[in-house]
Amino acid sequence: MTNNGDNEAAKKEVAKRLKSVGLPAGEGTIAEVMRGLPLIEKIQKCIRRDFAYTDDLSQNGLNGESQ
Amino acid sequence: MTDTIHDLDIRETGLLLRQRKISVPELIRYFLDRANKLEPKIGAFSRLDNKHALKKANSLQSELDRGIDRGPLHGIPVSLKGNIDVGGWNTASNSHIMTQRTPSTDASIVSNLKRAGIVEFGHTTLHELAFGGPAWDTPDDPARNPWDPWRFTGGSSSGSGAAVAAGLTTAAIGTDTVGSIRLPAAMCGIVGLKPTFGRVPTEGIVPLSYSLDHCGPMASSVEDCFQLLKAMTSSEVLQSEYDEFVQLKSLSGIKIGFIDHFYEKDSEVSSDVHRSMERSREIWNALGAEIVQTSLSSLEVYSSCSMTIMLSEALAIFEKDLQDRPYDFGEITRDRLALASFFSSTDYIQANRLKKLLSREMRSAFSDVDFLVAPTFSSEAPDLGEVDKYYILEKPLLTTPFNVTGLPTVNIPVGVSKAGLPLGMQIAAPEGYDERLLGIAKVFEQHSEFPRFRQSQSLPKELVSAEDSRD
Repeated sequence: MTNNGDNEAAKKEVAKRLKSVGLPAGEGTIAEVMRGLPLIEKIQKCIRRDFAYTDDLSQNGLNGESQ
Repeated sequence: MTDTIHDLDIRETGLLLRQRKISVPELIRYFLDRANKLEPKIGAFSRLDNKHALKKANSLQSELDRGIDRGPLHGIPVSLKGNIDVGGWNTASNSHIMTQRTPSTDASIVSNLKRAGIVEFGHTTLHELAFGGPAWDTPDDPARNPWDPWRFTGGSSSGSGAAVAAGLTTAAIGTDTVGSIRLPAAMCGIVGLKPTFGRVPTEGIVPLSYSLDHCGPMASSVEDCFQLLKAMTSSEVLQSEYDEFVQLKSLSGIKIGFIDHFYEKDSEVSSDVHRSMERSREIWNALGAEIVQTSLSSLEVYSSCSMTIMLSEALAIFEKDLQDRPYDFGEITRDRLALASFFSSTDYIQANRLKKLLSREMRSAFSDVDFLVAPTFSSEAPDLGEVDKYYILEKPLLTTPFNVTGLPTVNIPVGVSKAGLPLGMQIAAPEGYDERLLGIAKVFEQHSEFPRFRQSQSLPKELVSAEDSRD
Protein backbone atom coordinates (compact mmCIF):
# COMPACT_ATOMS: atom_id res chain seq x y z
CA MET A 1 0.00 0.00 0.00
CA THR A 2 1.23 3.52 -0.73
CA ASN A 3 1.88 6.09 2.00
CA ASN A 4 -1.33 7.79 0.95
CA GLY A 5 -3.10 4.48 1.23
CA ASP A 6 -1.66 3.94 4.73
CA ASN A 7 -2.76 7.38 5.71
CA GLU A 8 -6.29 6.84 4.47
CA ALA A 9 -6.51 3.52 6.29
CA ALA A 10 -5.26 5.12 9.50
CA LYS A 11 -7.80 7.93 9.12
CA LYS A 12 -10.62 5.42 8.72
CA GLU A 13 -9.43 3.55 11.80
CA VAL A 14 -9.40 6.73 13.86
CA ALA A 15 -12.85 7.74 12.58
CA LYS A 16 -14.20 4.29 13.40
CA ARG A 17 -12.76 4.42 16.89
CA LEU A 18 -14.15 7.88 17.60
CA LYS A 19 -17.61 6.93 16.32
CA SER A 20 -17.62 3.73 18.36
CA VAL A 21 -17.42 5.77 21.56
CA GLY A 22 -19.92 8.33 20.28
CA LEU A 23 -17.41 11.09 19.65
CA PRO A 24 -17.45 13.49 16.71
CA ALA A 25 -15.39 12.27 13.76
CA GLY A 26 -15.13 15.38 11.62
CA GLU A 27 -12.14 15.91 9.32
CA GLY A 28 -10.53 18.43 11.66
CA THR A 29 -10.88 16.23 14.73
CA ILE A 30 -9.51 13.19 12.87
CA ALA A 31 -6.48 15.15 11.69
CA GLU A 32 -5.77 16.49 15.19
CA VAL A 33 -6.27 13.10 16.82
CA MET A 34 -3.88 11.55 14.31
CA ARG A 35 -1.33 14.21 15.20
CA GLY A 36 -1.69 13.39 18.89
CA LEU A 37 -1.91 9.63 18.60
CA PRO A 38 1.87 9.00 18.54
CA LEU A 39 2.07 10.83 21.88
CA ILE A 40 -0.57 8.53 23.38
CA GLU A 41 1.18 5.47 21.96
CA LYS A 42 4.44 6.61 23.55
CA ILE A 43 2.69 6.93 26.91
CA GLN A 44 1.07 3.50 26.53
CA LYS A 45 4.45 1.93 25.77
CA CYS A 46 5.81 3.50 28.93
CA ILE A 47 3.06 2.26 31.27
CA ARG A 48 2.53 -1.17 29.71
CA ARG A 49 5.43 -2.67 31.57
CA ASP A 50 6.04 -6.18 32.73
CA PHE A 51 4.19 -6.42 36.01
CA ALA A 52 5.63 -9.78 36.93
CA TYR A 53 3.80 -11.61 39.67
CA THR A 54 5.74 -12.24 42.84
CA ASP A 55 4.81 -13.78 46.16
CA ASP A 56 4.55 -10.27 47.55
CA LEU A 57 1.65 -8.81 45.57
CA SER A 58 2.34 -5.32 46.85
CA GLN A 59 5.57 -5.42 44.81
CA ASN A 60 3.62 -5.17 41.57
CA GLY A 61 1.03 -2.67 42.61
CA LEU A 62 -1.77 -5.17 43.21
CA ASN A 63 -2.42 -4.32 46.83
CA GLY A 64 -0.97 -2.31 49.65
CA GLU A 65 -1.37 1.34 50.41
CA SER A 66 -4.04 3.45 48.77
CA GLN A 67 -1.52 5.95 47.44
CA MET B 1 1.15 53.83 52.29
CA THR B 2 -2.18 53.52 50.48
CA ASP B 3 -0.37 53.51 47.13
CA THR B 4 1.32 50.22 47.84
CA ILE B 5 -1.27 48.11 49.65
CA HIS B 6 -1.02 45.45 46.95
CA ASP B 7 2.62 44.92 47.94
CA LEU B 8 1.69 43.99 51.50
CA ASP B 9 1.29 40.41 52.67
CA ILE B 10 -1.63 39.15 54.74
CA ARG B 11 0.00 39.94 58.09
CA GLU B 12 0.96 43.47 57.06
CA THR B 13 -2.49 44.16 55.61
CA GLY B 14 -4.14 42.78 58.74
CA LEU B 15 -1.99 45.09 60.86
CA LEU B 16 -3.27 48.12 58.94
CA LEU B 17 -6.85 46.98 59.51
CA ARG B 18 -6.38 46.40 63.23
CA GLN B 19 -4.55 49.68 63.72
CA ARG B 20 -7.53 51.37 62.02
CA LYS B 21 -5.21 52.91 59.42
CA ILE B 22 -7.54 51.58 56.78
CA SER B 23 -11.00 50.01 56.93
CA VAL B 24 -12.05 46.78 55.23
CA PRO B 25 -14.26 48.67 52.71
CA GLU B 26 -11.36 51.04 51.91
CA LEU B 27 -9.07 48.05 51.41
CA ILE B 28 -11.54 46.32 49.10
CA ARG B 29 -12.26 49.52 47.18
CA TYR B 30 -8.50 49.90 46.64
CA PHE B 31 -8.24 46.42 45.13
CA LEU B 32 -11.43 46.84 43.10
CA ASP B 33 -10.14 50.12 41.63
CA ARG B 34 -6.81 48.50 40.80
CA ALA B 35 -8.43 45.38 39.37
CA ASN B 36 -10.92 47.34 37.28
CA LYS B 37 -8.09 49.50 35.93
CA LEU B 38 -5.75 46.65 35.01
CA GLU B 39 -8.24 43.91 34.23
CA PRO B 40 -8.67 44.87 30.55
CA LYS B 41 -4.95 44.21 30.08
CA ILE B 42 -4.68 41.08 32.19
CA GLY B 43 -8.04 39.31 32.05
CA ALA B 44 -7.49 37.47 35.31
CA PHE B 45 -11.14 37.37 36.39
CA SER B 46 -14.29 35.76 35.04
CA ARG B 47 -16.28 37.51 37.78
CA LEU B 48 -15.60 40.69 39.72
CA ASP B 49 -18.63 41.71 41.75
CA ASN B 50 -17.97 45.16 43.20
CA LYS B 51 -21.32 45.33 44.96
CA HIS B 52 -20.96 41.95 46.66
CA ALA B 53 -17.36 42.58 47.69
CA LEU B 54 -18.16 45.95 49.24
CA LYS B 55 -21.22 44.58 51.06
CA LYS B 56 -19.11 41.78 52.51
CA ALA B 57 -16.38 44.29 53.42
CA ASN B 58 -18.89 46.45 55.31
CA SER B 59 -20.14 43.44 57.22
CA LEU B 60 -16.60 42.37 58.20
CA GLN B 61 -15.71 45.94 59.24
CA SER B 62 -18.79 46.02 61.41
CA GLU B 63 -17.55 42.86 63.13
CA LEU B 64 -14.14 44.41 63.78
CA ASP B 65 -15.84 47.51 65.18
CA ARG B 66 -17.73 45.25 67.60
CA GLY B 67 -14.52 43.51 68.66
CA ILE B 68 -15.14 40.36 66.61
CA ASP B 69 -11.87 39.34 64.97
CA ARG B 70 -11.91 36.12 62.93
CA GLY B 71 -8.11 35.97 62.70
CA PRO B 72 -5.38 36.71 60.14
CA LEU B 73 -7.67 36.49 57.09
CA HIS B 74 -10.34 38.84 58.45
CA GLY B 75 -11.12 41.32 55.66
CA ILE B 76 -8.46 40.00 53.28
CA PRO B 77 -9.45 39.82 49.57
CA VAL B 78 -8.98 36.25 48.32
CA SER B 79 -9.92 35.23 44.78
CA LEU B 80 -11.14 31.78 43.83
CA LYS B 81 -10.42 29.80 40.68
CA GLY B 82 -13.52 29.64 38.48
CA ASN B 83 -14.02 25.89 39.02
CA ILE B 84 -14.63 26.37 42.76
CA ASP B 85 -18.29 26.61 43.77
CA VAL B 86 -19.44 29.78 45.45
CA GLY B 87 -23.14 29.66 46.30
CA GLY B 88 -25.09 31.97 43.98
CA TRP B 89 -22.14 32.57 41.62
CA ASN B 90 -22.11 31.20 38.11
CA THR B 91 -19.33 28.59 38.27
CA ALA B 92 -18.78 27.51 34.68
CA SER B 93 -15.14 26.38 34.89
CA ASN B 94 -14.61 28.45 31.74
CA SER B 95 -16.63 26.03 29.61
CA HIS B 96 -19.68 26.60 27.44
CA ILE B 97 -20.98 23.25 28.67
CA MET B 98 -21.43 24.78 32.14
CA THR B 99 -22.48 28.35 31.41
CA GLN B 100 -25.86 27.82 33.10
CA ARG B 101 -24.33 26.29 36.22
CA THR B 102 -24.95 28.32 39.39
CA PRO B 103 -24.49 26.19 42.50
CA SER B 104 -26.56 27.02 45.55
CA THR B 105 -23.90 26.01 48.07
CA ASP B 106 -20.25 26.79 48.65
CA ALA B 107 -17.38 24.37 48.11
CA SER B 108 -16.01 23.14 51.45
CA ILE B 109 -12.92 25.31 51.16
CA VAL B 110 -15.05 28.39 50.44
CA SER B 111 -17.10 27.74 53.59
CA ASN B 112 -13.87 27.35 55.54
CA LEU B 113 -12.36 30.53 54.10
CA LYS B 114 -15.54 32.53 54.66
CA ARG B 115 -15.55 31.36 58.28
CA ALA B 116 -11.99 32.69 58.53
CA GLY B 117 -13.23 36.10 57.37
CA ILE B 118 -12.05 36.48 53.76
CA VAL B 119 -13.75 38.75 51.28
CA GLU B 120 -14.44 36.43 48.35
CA PHE B 121 -13.12 38.88 45.80
CA GLY B 122 -13.93 37.19 42.49
CA HIS B 123 -13.69 34.13 40.33
CA THR B 124 -10.45 33.87 38.39
CA THR B 125 -10.18 32.57 34.84
CA LEU B 126 -8.74 29.17 34.06
CA HIS B 127 -8.10 26.78 31.22
CA GLU B 128 -11.41 25.16 30.26
CA LEU B 129 -12.39 22.66 32.98
CA ALA B 130 -8.86 23.10 34.43
CA PHE B 131 -7.71 21.14 31.39
CA GLY B 132 -7.96 22.71 27.93
CA GLY B 133 -5.91 25.80 27.32
CA PRO B 134 -4.65 28.35 26.58
CA ALA B 135 -7.70 28.76 24.32
CA TRP B 136 -9.59 31.56 22.59
CA ASP B 137 -12.82 29.66 21.94
CA THR B 138 -13.89 29.34 25.58
CA PRO B 139 -16.05 31.85 27.52
CA ASP B 140 -12.92 33.67 28.80
CA ASP B 141 -9.71 34.28 26.89
CA PRO B 142 -6.45 33.24 28.60
CA ALA B 143 -5.27 35.42 31.48
CA ARG B 144 -2.17 37.40 30.49
CA ASN B 145 1.14 37.06 32.28
CA PRO B 146 1.81 40.38 34.09
CA TRP B 147 5.54 40.03 33.40
CA ASP B 148 4.89 40.02 29.66
CA PRO B 149 1.36 39.69 28.29
CA TRP B 150 2.64 37.83 25.23
CA ARG B 151 4.11 35.07 27.34
CA PHE B 152 2.22 32.03 28.63
CA THR B 153 0.78 32.49 32.12
CA GLY B 154 0.93 28.79 32.83
CA GLY B 155 -2.14 26.79 33.61
CA SER B 156 -4.62 25.88 34.45
CA SER B 157 -4.90 28.29 37.42
CA SER B 158 -3.79 31.09 35.12
CA GLY B 159 -6.13 33.80 36.40
CA SER B 160 -5.17 33.10 40.02
CA GLY B 161 -1.47 33.34 39.16
CA ALA B 162 -1.85 36.51 37.11
CA ALA B 163 -4.11 38.21 39.68
CA VAL B 164 -1.67 37.64 42.54
CA ALA B 165 1.40 38.59 40.50
CA ALA B 166 -0.25 41.81 39.31
CA GLY B 167 -1.41 42.71 42.82
CA LEU B 168 -5.11 42.60 41.95
CA THR B 169 -5.89 40.45 44.99
CA THR B 170 -3.89 39.66 48.11
CA ALA B 171 -4.09 35.92 47.48
CA ALA B 172 -5.91 33.33 45.39
CA ILE B 173 -6.90 29.70 45.40
CA GLY B 174 -6.04 27.27 42.61
CA THR B 175 -6.36 23.60 41.76
CA ASP B 176 -3.61 21.26 40.62
CA THR B 177 -4.03 17.93 38.78
CA VAL B 178 -0.72 17.71 36.93
CA GLY B 179 0.82 21.06 37.95
CA SER B 180 -1.91 23.68 37.62
CA ILE B 181 -1.01 25.61 40.78
CA ARG B 182 2.78 25.32 40.52
CA LEU B 183 3.14 26.08 36.80
CA PRO B 184 1.39 29.48 36.83
CA ALA B 185 3.08 30.23 40.16
CA ALA B 186 6.47 29.58 38.53
CA MET B 187 5.70 31.56 35.38
CA CYS B 188 4.24 34.49 37.33
CA GLY B 189 6.91 34.58 40.05
CA ILE B 190 4.74 33.76 43.07
CA VAL B 191 4.39 31.00 45.66
CA GLY B 192 1.95 28.14 45.08
CA LEU B 193 1.30 25.16 47.33
CA LYS B 194 -0.08 21.80 46.25
CA PRO B 195 -0.88 20.27 49.64
CA THR B 196 -0.82 16.56 50.47
CA PHE B 197 -3.52 14.73 48.48
CA GLY B 198 -6.77 14.90 50.46
CA ARG B 199 -5.48 17.37 53.04
CA VAL B 200 -7.60 20.18 51.57
CA PRO B 201 -11.14 19.06 50.71
CA THR B 202 -12.16 19.14 47.05
CA GLU B 203 -15.92 18.84 47.59
CA GLY B 204 -17.66 21.51 45.54
CA ILE B 205 -14.86 21.83 43.00
CA VAL B 206 -15.61 20.81 39.39
CA PRO B 207 -13.64 17.55 39.11
CA LEU B 208 -11.11 16.69 36.44
CA SER B 209 -9.40 13.62 37.90
CA TYR B 210 -10.57 12.13 41.19
CA SER B 211 -7.21 10.49 41.83
CA LEU B 212 -5.01 13.50 41.12
CA ASP B 213 -7.02 16.67 41.87
CA HIS B 214 -5.62 18.91 44.61
CA CYS B 215 -6.64 22.37 45.82
CA GLY B 216 -4.25 24.88 47.33
CA PRO B 217 -3.23 28.49 47.94
CA MET B 218 -1.33 30.90 45.67
CA ALA B 219 0.19 34.06 47.12
CA SER B 220 3.19 36.34 47.04
CA SER B 221 4.85 34.73 50.06
CA VAL B 222 5.22 31.38 51.79
CA GLU B 223 3.79 32.85 54.99
CA ASP B 224 0.58 33.83 53.16
CA CYS B 225 0.23 30.29 51.80
CA PHE B 226 0.57 28.93 55.32
CA GLN B 227 -2.17 31.24 56.64
CA LEU B 228 -4.46 30.17 53.79
CA LEU B 229 -3.72 26.47 54.26
CA LYS B 230 -4.67 26.78 57.93
CA ALA B 231 -8.03 28.24 56.95
CA MET B 232 -8.75 25.96 53.98
CA THR B 233 -8.29 22.60 55.56
CA SER B 234 -10.75 21.05 57.95
CA SER B 235 -7.95 19.16 59.71
CA GLU B 236 -5.56 20.66 62.21
CA VAL B 237 -2.55 22.52 60.84
CA LEU B 238 0.33 22.50 63.29
CA GLN B 239 1.76 25.96 63.81
CA SER B 240 4.52 24.50 65.99
CA GLU B 241 5.88 22.33 63.14
CA TYR B 242 5.98 25.34 60.83
CA ASP B 243 7.59 27.56 63.46
CA GLU B 244 10.16 24.92 64.30
CA PHE B 245 11.62 25.25 60.79
CA VAL B 246 11.08 28.97 60.33
CA GLN B 247 13.07 29.67 63.50
CA LEU B 248 16.06 27.54 62.51
CA LYS B 249 19.26 29.56 62.46
CA SER B 250 21.00 26.91 60.36
CA LEU B 251 19.85 23.98 58.27
CA SER B 252 22.71 21.84 59.55
CA GLY B 253 21.50 18.24 59.73
CA ILE B 254 18.82 18.77 57.05
CA LYS B 255 19.28 16.74 53.88
CA ILE B 256 18.03 18.15 50.58
CA GLY B 257 17.69 15.62 47.75
CA PHE B 258 18.20 17.13 44.30
CA ILE B 259 16.49 14.93 41.69
CA ASP B 260 19.20 15.83 39.20
CA HIS B 261 18.22 13.34 36.49
CA PHE B 262 14.75 14.93 36.14
CA TYR B 263 16.35 18.01 34.59
CA GLU B 264 19.79 16.82 33.49
CA LYS B 265 18.79 13.65 31.67
CA ASP B 266 15.03 13.04 31.56
CA SER B 267 13.93 16.38 30.10
CA GLU B 268 15.45 19.25 28.20
CA VAL B 269 15.64 22.34 30.35
CA SER B 270 16.99 25.76 29.44
CA SER B 271 20.37 27.06 30.54
CA ASP B 272 18.46 29.60 32.67
CA VAL B 273 16.87 26.75 34.62
CA HIS B 274 20.23 25.02 35.07
CA ARG B 275 21.68 28.25 36.42
CA SER B 276 18.75 28.76 38.79
CA MET B 277 19.20 25.27 40.19
CA GLU B 278 22.92 25.92 40.70
CA ARG B 279 22.04 29.11 42.53
CA SER B 280 19.54 27.18 44.61
CA ARG B 281 22.27 24.68 45.49
CA GLU B 282 24.49 27.54 46.66
CA ILE B 283 21.73 28.94 48.87
CA TRP B 284 21.00 25.56 50.48
CA ASN B 285 24.74 25.11 51.05
CA ALA B 286 25.08 28.55 52.57
CA LEU B 287 22.23 27.71 54.91
CA GLY B 288 24.14 24.66 56.13
CA ALA B 289 21.97 21.96 54.53
CA GLU B 290 23.55 18.81 53.18
CA ILE B 291 22.81 18.27 49.50
CA VAL B 292 22.50 14.75 48.19
CA GLN B 293 21.64 13.38 44.78
CA THR B 294 18.35 11.48 44.67
CA SER B 295 17.55 8.96 41.97
CA LEU B 296 13.99 7.91 41.11
CA SER B 297 12.22 6.36 38.11
CA SER B 298 12.48 8.52 35.02
CA LEU B 299 10.34 11.60 34.68
CA GLU B 300 8.74 10.04 31.60
CA VAL B 301 7.40 7.16 33.72
CA TYR B 302 5.88 9.52 36.29
CA SER B 303 4.44 11.77 33.59
CA SER B 304 3.01 8.90 31.53
CA CYS B 305 1.36 7.49 34.64
CA SER B 306 -0.25 10.84 35.49
CA MET B 307 -1.41 11.54 31.92
CA THR B 308 -3.05 8.11 31.55
CA ILE B 309 -4.96 8.56 34.80
CA MET B 310 -5.90 12.20 34.23
CA LEU B 311 -7.07 11.73 30.63
CA SER B 312 -9.00 8.54 31.41
CA GLU B 313 -10.75 10.03 34.43
CA ALA B 314 -11.48 13.30 32.62
CA LEU B 315 -13.09 11.38 29.76
CA ALA B 316 -15.17 9.37 32.22
CA ILE B 317 -16.43 12.63 33.77
CA PHE B 318 -17.18 14.50 30.52
CA GLU B 319 -17.97 11.61 28.13
CA LYS B 320 -21.74 12.19 28.10
CA ASP B 321 -21.37 15.91 27.33
CA LEU B 322 -18.75 15.15 24.70
CA GLN B 323 -21.17 12.82 22.94
CA ASP B 324 -24.23 15.04 23.33
CA ARG B 325 -22.76 18.44 22.47
CA PRO B 326 -19.12 18.13 21.44
CA TYR B 327 -18.91 21.59 19.93
CA ASP B 328 -19.75 23.26 23.23
CA PHE B 329 -16.24 22.27 24.32
CA GLY B 330 -13.30 24.32 23.16
CA GLU B 331 -11.19 22.67 20.49
CA ILE B 332 -8.26 21.88 22.81
CA THR B 333 -10.48 20.17 25.38
CA ARG B 334 -12.44 18.31 22.72
CA ASP B 335 -9.35 17.00 20.94
CA ARG B 336 -7.55 16.04 24.14
CA LEU B 337 -10.65 14.16 25.34
CA ALA B 338 -10.96 12.47 21.95
CA LEU B 339 -7.36 11.30 22.31
CA ALA B 340 -8.18 9.98 25.79
CA SER B 341 -10.60 7.51 24.20
CA PHE B 342 -7.59 5.63 22.83
CA PHE B 343 -6.57 4.51 26.30
CA SER B 344 -7.95 1.11 27.24
CA SER B 345 -9.29 -0.02 30.60
CA THR B 346 -6.11 -2.04 31.11
CA ASP B 347 -4.02 1.09 30.45
CA TYR B 348 -5.90 2.83 33.25
CA ILE B 349 -5.47 -0.11 35.62
CA GLN B 350 -1.76 -0.51 34.83
CA ALA B 351 -1.26 3.22 35.40
CA ASN B 352 -2.88 2.88 38.82
CA ARG B 353 -0.64 -0.07 39.68
CA LEU B 354 2.31 2.02 38.58
CA LYS B 355 1.06 4.88 40.73
CA LYS B 356 1.32 2.67 43.82
CA LEU B 357 4.83 1.58 42.96
CA LEU B 358 6.00 5.12 42.21
CA SER B 359 4.45 6.36 45.46
CA ARG B 360 6.33 3.70 47.36
CA GLU B 361 9.55 4.58 45.53
CA MET B 362 9.28 8.25 46.45
CA ARG B 363 8.37 7.45 50.04
CA SER B 364 11.50 5.30 50.25
CA ALA B 365 13.58 8.20 48.97
CA PHE B 366 12.57 10.11 52.09
CA SER B 367 14.40 7.60 54.26
CA ASP B 368 17.60 9.25 53.00
CA VAL B 369 16.52 12.90 52.71
CA ASP B 370 14.21 15.37 54.43
CA PHE B 371 13.07 17.25 51.30
CA LEU B 372 13.23 16.77 47.54
CA VAL B 373 14.00 19.54 45.05
CA ALA B 374 13.52 19.92 41.28
CA PRO B 375 12.74 22.76 38.86
CA THR B 376 9.04 23.50 38.34
CA PHE B 377 9.15 24.06 34.59
CA SER B 378 11.73 23.47 31.89
CA SER B 379 12.19 27.15 30.97
CA GLU B 380 10.90 30.66 31.50
CA ALA B 381 7.30 31.25 30.36
CA PRO B 382 7.24 30.44 26.62
CA ASP B 383 5.67 32.71 24.01
CA LEU B 384 1.89 32.30 24.13
CA GLY B 385 1.81 31.45 20.41
CA GLU B 386 4.29 28.62 20.85
CA VAL B 387 2.20 26.61 23.30
CA ASP B 388 0.95 23.57 21.38
CA LYS B 389 -2.44 21.98 22.03
CA TYR B 390 -0.66 18.81 23.20
CA TYR B 391 2.16 20.42 25.19
CA ILE B 392 1.22 18.43 28.30
CA LEU B 393 1.82 15.21 26.34
CA GLU B 394 4.83 16.19 24.25
CA LYS B 395 7.36 16.60 27.01
CA PRO B 396 7.15 15.14 30.52
CA LEU B 397 6.05 17.81 33.00
CA LEU B 398 8.33 18.22 36.02
CA THR B 399 5.31 18.78 38.25
CA THR B 400 3.59 15.41 37.61
CA PRO B 401 5.62 13.18 39.98
CA PHE B 402 4.13 14.93 42.99
CA ASN B 403 0.53 14.53 41.77
CA VAL B 404 1.12 10.82 41.18
CA THR B 405 2.51 10.42 44.70
CA GLY B 406 0.21 12.98 46.34
CA LEU B 407 3.10 14.51 48.29
CA PRO B 408 2.98 18.15 49.40
CA THR B 409 4.97 20.37 47.03
CA VAL B 410 5.50 24.11 46.87
CA ASN B 411 6.73 26.32 44.05
CA ILE B 412 8.91 29.19 45.13
CA PRO B 413 10.56 31.77 42.87
CA VAL B 414 14.24 31.00 42.49
CA GLY B 415 15.47 33.64 40.10
CA VAL B 416 14.91 35.23 36.73
CA SER B 417 15.96 34.23 33.22
CA LYS B 418 18.25 36.30 31.00
CA ALA B 419 15.09 37.84 29.55
CA GLY B 420 14.06 38.89 33.05
CA LEU B 421 11.24 36.38 33.47
CA PRO B 422 10.66 34.38 36.68
CA LEU B 423 11.79 30.81 37.24
CA GLY B 424 10.43 28.45 39.85
CA MET B 425 11.71 25.61 42.00
CA GLN B 426 9.67 22.86 43.62
CA ILE B 427 10.33 21.57 47.12
CA ALA B 428 8.51 18.40 48.18
CA ALA B 429 8.10 16.80 51.60
CA PRO B 430 6.79 13.47 52.89
CA GLU B 431 3.03 12.92 53.02
CA GLY B 432 1.31 15.09 55.64
CA TYR B 433 4.37 17.25 56.29
CA ASP B 434 2.89 20.36 54.68
CA GLU B 435 3.78 22.53 57.68
CA ARG B 436 7.45 21.52 57.66
CA LEU B 437 7.51 21.99 53.88
CA LEU B 438 6.29 25.57 54.16
CA GLY B 439 8.66 26.16 57.09
CA ILE B 440 11.73 25.16 55.08
CA ALA B 441 10.41 27.04 52.01
CA LYS B 442 10.18 30.18 54.11
CA VAL B 443 13.76 29.78 55.28
CA PHE B 444 14.88 29.46 51.64
CA GLU B 445 12.66 32.39 50.57
CA GLN B 446 14.27 34.65 53.17
CA HIS B 447 17.71 33.91 51.74
CA SER B 448 16.93 34.12 48.03
CA GLU B 449 17.26 37.43 46.24
CA PHE B 450 14.29 37.06 43.91
CA PRO B 451 12.85 40.52 43.28
CA ARG B 452 9.20 40.54 44.26
CA PHE B 453 7.40 41.80 41.21
CA ARG B 454 4.60 43.23 43.30
CA GLN B 455 7.07 45.62 44.86
CA SER B 456 7.39 47.27 41.47
CA GLN B 457 5.17 50.30 41.08
CA SER B 458 5.26 50.43 37.30
CA LEU B 459 2.92 47.61 36.31
CA PRO B 460 0.44 49.59 34.22
CA LYS B 461 3.24 51.31 32.28
CA GLU B 462 5.07 48.02 31.75
CA LEU B 463 1.96 46.31 30.53
CA VAL B 464 1.17 49.08 28.11
CA SER B 465 4.73 49.26 26.74
CA ALA B 466 4.94 45.47 26.43
CA GLU B 467 1.74 45.41 24.41
CA ASP B 468 2.76 48.37 22.26
CA SER B 469 6.07 46.79 21.37
CA ARG B 470 4.34 43.71 19.93
CA ASP B 471 1.71 45.56 17.92
